[in-house]
Amino acid sequence: MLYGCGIDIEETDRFLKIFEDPLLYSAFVKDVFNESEVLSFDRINIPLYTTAAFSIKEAFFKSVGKSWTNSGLYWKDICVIFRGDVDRFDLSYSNDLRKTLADMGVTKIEAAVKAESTYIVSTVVLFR
Amino acid sequence: MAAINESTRTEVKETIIEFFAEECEIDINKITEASNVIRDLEGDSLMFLELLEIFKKKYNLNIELKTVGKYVVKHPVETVGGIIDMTMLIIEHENNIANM
Repeated sequence: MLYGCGIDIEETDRFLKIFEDPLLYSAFVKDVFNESEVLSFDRINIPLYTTAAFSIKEAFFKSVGKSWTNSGLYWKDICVIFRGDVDRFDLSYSNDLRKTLADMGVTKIEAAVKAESTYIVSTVVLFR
Repeated sequence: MAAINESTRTEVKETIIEFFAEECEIDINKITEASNVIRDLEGDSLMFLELLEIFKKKYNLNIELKTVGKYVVKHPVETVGGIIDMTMLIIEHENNIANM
């Protein structure tokens, strides 16, 4: 049975200000991503992978029906590990998030991301 | 923790209003402390994150997003004035806002 569906659309240009400032980018990455996620970003297309991973996390929050400011869930609770391409990735979760999902009765999670020229669209669907 | 003086709130307020005016492409004179960030400005979580990073850099703050999240769960922030007040608390107390 469907529990929730989250869809997120990110305009890649909106991240330019962050990418253009090394200190801002470094602080942003440190706050939002786990080290293993950053290591899975394609070195020659860091902006695309950073934006996609952010978008997947946003879609995840929306699938739960909340945001990081009102759910007790945090950016690093979700781990997006890319497998060589931006639309091929695995998700893993912190122990806190695993417990929350179990309490919600979620048994299956499906996620997808599509990168267009200026937009990245992510979908996360939770089932129970 | 950064030193707070009378001009700090003015500086924070100006930074926040200028940020939203630019990001949301809204006339700066139309943004007030009463403006609702989502309803009136169409703000989103990326803007909130960017603002936090800007202040962390500007005031050399030691604050974790998780701490901010915990604070906001207990004290929801909806308006520009709310963001200004929360930013002042972060500047003054950094990670200790989790205990407030």
